[in-house]
Amino acid sequence: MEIKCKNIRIGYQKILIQDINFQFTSGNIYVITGKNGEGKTCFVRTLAGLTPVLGGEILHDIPLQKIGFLNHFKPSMPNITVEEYLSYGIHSANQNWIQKLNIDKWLQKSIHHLSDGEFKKVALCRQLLKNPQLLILDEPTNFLDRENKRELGLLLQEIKNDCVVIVVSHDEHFYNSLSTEYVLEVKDCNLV
Amino acid sequence: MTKITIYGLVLLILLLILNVSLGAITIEWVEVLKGNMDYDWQKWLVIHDRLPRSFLAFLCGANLALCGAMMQSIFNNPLAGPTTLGINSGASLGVAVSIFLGSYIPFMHPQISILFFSFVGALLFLFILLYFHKVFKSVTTLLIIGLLLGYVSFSFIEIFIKFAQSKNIQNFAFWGMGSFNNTNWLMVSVLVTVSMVGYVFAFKKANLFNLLLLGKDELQLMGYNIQKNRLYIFLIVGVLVATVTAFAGPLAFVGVAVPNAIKMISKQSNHQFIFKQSIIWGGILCLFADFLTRGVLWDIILPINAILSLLSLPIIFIFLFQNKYHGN
Repeated sequence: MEIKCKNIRIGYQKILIQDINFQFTSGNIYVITGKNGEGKTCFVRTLAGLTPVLGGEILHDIPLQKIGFLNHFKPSMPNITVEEYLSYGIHSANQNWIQKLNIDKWLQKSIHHLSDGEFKKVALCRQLLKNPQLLILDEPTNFLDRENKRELGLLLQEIKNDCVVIVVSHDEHFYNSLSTEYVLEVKDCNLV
Repeated sequence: MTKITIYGLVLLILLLILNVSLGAITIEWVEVLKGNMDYDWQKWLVIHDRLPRSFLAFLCGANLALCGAMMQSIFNNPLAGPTTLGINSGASLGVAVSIFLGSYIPFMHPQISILFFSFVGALLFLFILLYFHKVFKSVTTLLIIGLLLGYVSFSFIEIFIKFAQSKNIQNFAFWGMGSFNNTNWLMVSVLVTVSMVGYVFAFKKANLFNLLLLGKDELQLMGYNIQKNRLYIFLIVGVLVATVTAFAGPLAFVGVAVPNAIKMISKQSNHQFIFKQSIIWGGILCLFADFLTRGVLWDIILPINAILSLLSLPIIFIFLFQNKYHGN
């Protein structure tokens, strides 16, 4: 799987990053870092198709339903159970992820009764249940303890051959532990 | 079939029998079921008055509850309801124009004329809202516009009332109280047709409503175009509410109370389940309210909106106190 970015410009009302020419491929973990407000989240949202691109082309043949996107924030939700959260819209899911992430004991728990770290794991599980070909994680280590961060790192190493993995992170210790050669910094409206 | 569905269907059949057999004149329910009534006027009463009235009451309650369930999900607000978009206000303005300005359609019975103006008024407000939805693309803005349209309608009605004859003011007030009187099978067939379109749409979109619970991003990633789907939802809700309001007047609270009660009691969030139960129990609530208003238990005829409000408000209060208890 690969994603080609050709001369793309991204932003909201104003351009945040321009002239991005890059290719993401499966088999690697890509880390995107940079200062606050530089456009990291905007960039990955554009890659996922959640925000329209302002110029240029993003070329890939990954269907929307095969894109996993883990937000850095917890969206406001009504009182639903973890089981309902994991099942809505997802059919024939690989249930192994639920056991692997140790969240089978939470299935009947309400989303509102999970801590932020627990919800992070559940949200990640939902994205993995889609069998994604592109997995984007925006600040995935927020609210996670050291043990869970370590497990997340191992999980990403496990799945990187089956999908394109892109991680937005300020956590230098975490992304160094991923041993990836692709650490991209957003700086001065460019991706370096 | 779940327990709640079974209880609902049993209660529905019971209420239907009660509504058909009891009233100013009692007809034995056994005779009704056998179709073996002694007098022609009894048969007329059952077939041309009580049965269509009961069907209308059920369908009105069912449609309003379904619309309420859809609106609560779209606006992510448990106090949203079928009147949130202000469609009722359009219907009220249409009726006010008809009654106060004497705008009756030539050669048409005044009752039918009022029905027509109510429907046209509701649809006019609906199309104004859909236009603004296309322009602004925000549900919050739509909520504000619905509210503003309501105030516009109210203002015009106040002006009409200032210069109106007392007879017309009385007629308008009676319309505002809601009523299932003067129902016929033509009205029921129109409502059945419109309702079926609404129900098919709602159940086909149940998955979309489930995904709405998880946030806009998740909905978009599953391939749904939220703007386009919102437009269709508002159109279907608008037509259902316009039809109910035209036939029965502006009915209060059913659309807010019933879906909340279903969610509170069942603790379910799956919209396939919520839509089904909203239809059944919304219909039951209106049928029960109609039973109470028809002078069966006491010698006076009561306004349907008053009874619906008294039945629905406790549900809303329980919901609010339950949310406070759970810290929501």
